[in-house]
Amino acid sequence: MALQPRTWQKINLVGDCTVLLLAAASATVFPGGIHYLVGLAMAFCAMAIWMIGGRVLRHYDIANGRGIAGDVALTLVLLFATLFPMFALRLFVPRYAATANMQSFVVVFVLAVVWLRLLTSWIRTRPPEPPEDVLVIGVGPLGRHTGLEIAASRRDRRVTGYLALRGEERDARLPARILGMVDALETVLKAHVVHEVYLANGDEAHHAEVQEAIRVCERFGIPFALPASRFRIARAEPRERAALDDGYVHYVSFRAKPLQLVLKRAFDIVASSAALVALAPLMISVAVAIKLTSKGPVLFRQVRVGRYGRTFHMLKFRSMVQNAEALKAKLLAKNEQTGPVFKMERDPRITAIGRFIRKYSIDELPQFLNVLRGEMTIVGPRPPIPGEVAQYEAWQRRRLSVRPGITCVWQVSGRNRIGFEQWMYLDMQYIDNWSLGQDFQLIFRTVPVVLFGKGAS
Amino acid sequence: MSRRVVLLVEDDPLLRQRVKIWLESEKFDVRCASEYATALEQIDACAPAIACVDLTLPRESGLDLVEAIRKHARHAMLPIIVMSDHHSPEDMAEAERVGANAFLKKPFARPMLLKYVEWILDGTQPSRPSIHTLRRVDG
Repeated sequence: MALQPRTWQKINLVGDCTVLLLAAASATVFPGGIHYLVGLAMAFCAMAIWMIGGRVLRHYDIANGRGIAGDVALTLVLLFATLFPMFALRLFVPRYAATANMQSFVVVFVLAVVWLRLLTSWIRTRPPEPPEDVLVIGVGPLGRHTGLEIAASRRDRRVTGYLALRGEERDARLPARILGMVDALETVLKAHVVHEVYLANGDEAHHAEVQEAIRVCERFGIPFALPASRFRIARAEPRERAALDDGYVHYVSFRAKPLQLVLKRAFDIVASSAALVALAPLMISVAVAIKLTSKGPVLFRQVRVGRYGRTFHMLKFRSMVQNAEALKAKLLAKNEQTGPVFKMERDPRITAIGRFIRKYSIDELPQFLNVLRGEMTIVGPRPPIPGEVAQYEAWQRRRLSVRPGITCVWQVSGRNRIGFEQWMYLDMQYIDNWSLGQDFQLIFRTVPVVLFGKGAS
Repeated sequence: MSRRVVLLVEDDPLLRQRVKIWLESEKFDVRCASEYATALEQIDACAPAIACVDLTLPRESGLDLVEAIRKHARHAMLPIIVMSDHHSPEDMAEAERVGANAFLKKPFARPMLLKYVEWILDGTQPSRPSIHTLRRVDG
């Protein structure tokens, strides 16, 4: 996930201030209580020095390519700058010297800040694995240079292929193969995993084709990039360079709220770890029950479609007999859900324990592991199976533009009583109006649905 | 045997001096110009074998100069390496469109510059399609 440098600055600043407060608390907490005044004074002094020093040394200005080692070195310099006056203060204020435990302050402060810096540097610089796939439309010079630039300087991306515009001269030195004409964009997007589409031809002659390609990208919810300018710019440069440092303006079709997205991911990690710990007794007993009552594995690994169409294994407790997928074909005539999804009230493949864990959604609990792995999130559209995606209409594929989740609007509004079209529509509304507050609301509304076993089967 | 002439168009005096020394150490005869008009005069006067053109010049841009050379009565085929610290795909595509033969990203080191000059003068392209080559040198 690419974040704006400004967001990283905020994350680093908030993290450092938290660490300072913790360090001050650790220095002033005694078995008998806490020296509030001394603690607050320490925290205040340290924070003031830290922030002024950070401002002067451009500590939070991370867009300057210092790298991990440089970040840590600068952090150490600032740490000494902060700690030195605090020790000097002890000489002049004997009472403070007697109450504050400087050793623990130093240890907590230094370790936590350096660790935090390593962590954020690492998250910021590590390339996503596997690299993101991009498609380039336009096979002329701009298309070639775009592809070669990505191949040469972007470790986190690779060019899947090219699409040609009508009447374009095909360059023989393209770094990837040509998959077809731009008319085939819809077919290509359905067949390939694509994280972004570069529209590498701004010529007036191709206006209509490029416009149509943009329309397709928006309908599919796939990010796209347009050349920053169609004009020759010899000297001038954009005032805001960060937004288009590769010569492209990048667009996304979901609400880009970088800070909220980071908080959402942080919440995912904390909440699912907590849930796994709290629910461990229940999950272990269910696992034992499944193992004892029927043949086969405890967990059911199903291939589901994740963000941008990349597949992953979604985990569930097994609630059906072992050869359930094979039996599904015989039951298709009895499907009770409209559209490409298969749902049935009295599915004969479900085991006795399976009926119980499905009613209370216990079978979904292992998905907290998928959340920790980063394949899913807690609130988001349910991940579809590949067969469903193949039958999607174009606008429905936009569900795949966000990370799939455990619960979403559909789960709290009656589940199987809602038709497929309506379900897709609700998900699309969720994606377009996404906010962290709404996510929390949905979690709270999910709890009674799960506890009273409403609508599940 | 007469030494081959390189025309160097660069407005930064320090860089111009450095590049001149690099090229002279390889037995090139280097003529310098710092902008559009003097560059065109130099071409008429010394008939260079190759031109290295900076894209940000004080008055008309380097791209204008490349365009003017491509319309020149006698030296329209002069091989041209453009040099710039603006090197987005768009900048490279634009340089290719006006007729430059290679794109050298600034800042560059001595071996890189000499490799470029060698490629262009030998008429050999690097074995794998490099991002920096724009057009083959004709004739």
